[in-house]
Amino acid sequence: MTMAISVATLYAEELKATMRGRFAWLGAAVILLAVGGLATVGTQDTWLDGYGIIAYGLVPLGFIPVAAGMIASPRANRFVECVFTAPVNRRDWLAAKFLVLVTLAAAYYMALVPMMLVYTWHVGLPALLQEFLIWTPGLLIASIAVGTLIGVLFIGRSLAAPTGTGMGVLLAYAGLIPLQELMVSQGNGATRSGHLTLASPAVLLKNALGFTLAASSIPATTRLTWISLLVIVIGALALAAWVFLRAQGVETWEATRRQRWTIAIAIAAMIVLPVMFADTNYDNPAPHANNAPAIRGLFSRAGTSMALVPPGGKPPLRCCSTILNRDEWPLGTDERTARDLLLLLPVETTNRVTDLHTKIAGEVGLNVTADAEALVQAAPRLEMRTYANDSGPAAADGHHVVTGWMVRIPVTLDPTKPWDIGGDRYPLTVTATYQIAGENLPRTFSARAAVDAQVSSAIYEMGFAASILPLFCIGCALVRWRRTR
Amino acid sequence: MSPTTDYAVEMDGITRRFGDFVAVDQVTLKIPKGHLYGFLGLNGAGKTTTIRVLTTLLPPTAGVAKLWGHDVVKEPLAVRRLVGLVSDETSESQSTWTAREYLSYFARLRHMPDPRDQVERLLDQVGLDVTFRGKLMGTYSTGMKRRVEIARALMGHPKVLFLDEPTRGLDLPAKREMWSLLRRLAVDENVTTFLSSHDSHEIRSLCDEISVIARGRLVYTGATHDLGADLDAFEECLIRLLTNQG
Repeated sequence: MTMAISVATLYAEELKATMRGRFAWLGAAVILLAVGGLATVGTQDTWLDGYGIIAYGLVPLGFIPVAAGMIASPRANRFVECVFTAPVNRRDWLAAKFLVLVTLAAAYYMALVPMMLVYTWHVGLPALLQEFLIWTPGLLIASIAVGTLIGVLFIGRSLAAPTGTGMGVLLAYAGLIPLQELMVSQGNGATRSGHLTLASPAVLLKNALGFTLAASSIPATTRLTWISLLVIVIGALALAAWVFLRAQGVETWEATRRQRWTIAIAIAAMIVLPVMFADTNYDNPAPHANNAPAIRGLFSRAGTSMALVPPGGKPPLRCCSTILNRDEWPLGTDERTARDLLLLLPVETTNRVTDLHTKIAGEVGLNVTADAEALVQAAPRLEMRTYANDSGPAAADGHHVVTGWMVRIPVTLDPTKPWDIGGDRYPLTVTATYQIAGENLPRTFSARAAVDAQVSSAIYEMGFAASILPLFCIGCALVRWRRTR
Repeated sequence: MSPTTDYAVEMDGITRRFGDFVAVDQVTLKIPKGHLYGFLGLNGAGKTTTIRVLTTLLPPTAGVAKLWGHDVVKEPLAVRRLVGLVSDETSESQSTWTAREYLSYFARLRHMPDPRDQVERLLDQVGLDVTFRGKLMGTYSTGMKRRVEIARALMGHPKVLFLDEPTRGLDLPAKREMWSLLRRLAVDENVTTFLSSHDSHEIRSLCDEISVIARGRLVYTGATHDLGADLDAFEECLIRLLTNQG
């Protein structure tokens, strides 16, 4: 009971003290602004792939140097001399410090909520975000554990060593995530190098939760992965506490030779055991991150033979990207947008085109309506287009059309049911048949492309949600500055 | 609190090594309660290490040290309840706190009733101007910082006050003001004060009983005036003690 009171008091005072740093509130504001700014900009593309990985993965790993610095700082600046000449138990102090770090981590996690709410309001809770919501607190705890150990190990007058080491470990842990994804994608997840990537708790937790960021397979078993993760997290915390209380004084190493060996072996075990024993049987297919259609092949370097332009607009000079509206603003989801779809027929203008019949099919929620007359044209309204440098569509005989026919079809596009707040690429398939004068059989035109869409109001809503807490922090910084100047 | 001892500080064979280096070598010393005791030595003589052992900041390699009868190794919390420490550098550590915040932190750690009132009382006692109490300590002069440190050390009515070179870096008026403050506190608070310094004038002005430490060993323990009737004689005697040693 006495200990609980003592820890509670220390915790409350240390928490208040944390925000008394010269740039504590401003620093928090800057971090939240950066994360919020990323969330806002992230609405312009696939949100979880950009913002999500940074906010839910990398920043939590940033708690490694933060924890290392916060634990090492009172020794570096000798504040511990004041604290431990007051009736303060070192065990209680370490517990309070840990709780403060957990509170800061929780505050960061909560700071992500407004942005997440905007996202889920529009697109629901995709599988990857569900996993992130568990991955992030796991990473935060692991980062605090490892950072605390680093902070305890470095006794000195400089913060450079603990925070620098923390940064190094952060970079290693973060860098192993894409490396592991790459190696698993290439089928090398169980090689020696593949095993090395399991030194990162971020990779272990990802495997344990059974999701990937890009790779297509996950381990079939997770028991040893969970154990490895616990070895790192509980091991780091236990070792930090033991070193702090048993092998160190207030500001000095007091370890015996035996204790020094124990510490070295424990640290080595935390690195080696996961690498050796965590599961690497990447045999199960990875779950889909969201409901996005599997249309990766569509976006290869090859172009397509159709274009999308504003009504009456000219065809693009560089023709034609498979993302039909790549060079203009994405379409708004749940909004009807009028455009002209241009079909670049592989027919020289020396030939006459008749009996054009077109079918346009949007997929995965893309509703396309076209002028019925435009789809069935006995004598289509054709426009001429001249292509430079063999950039025209390939004709039946293989040559690139130099001056060819282009058909203009007014369409209205209505992308619905978005699976992401931005970067939704809805497939679009166009098939057409037409007759060339003098030929017996009709020709077929077929093209597949996509339109880029986004929740058009999301950037403003996300910007608002992202600015609430930074503004609060700036306000607190101003209040403190006015109060103490 | 042990009522069985007459001594505020008892050291028996205290030794502290850092690797092969012996910072404090078998120091044995007893300081009666209620004294303003001087601890004199050159830089690196072992004064700070001795204080750090006595205040539980550093475990001794060998020997036994007790404060008010409490063993510094076995009963660190009991010892911490009895001591106050003013070090020459700790005030720099929290330059982004105000004096009020700094003292409130420790008042709450000590579970003092009415911490705000206590803080104001202590700041009154050490003479820190009210207009500065809510400003960041980084803007304070060295003398003001030292006053805050003393206020912190006095928190909880310590039985033994350790002052580790409390006037280092102070100009002469501030130094004399600090001496006057220390004398007043010794009388008002009836606290045993362990004043460590390499300033012979300071020690001679403030303390009746002193110990002199050189290269980790005590070379003199006794009355201050026994080392010389005036400052010159005192300093000559000190130099002899310090240079003859080792």
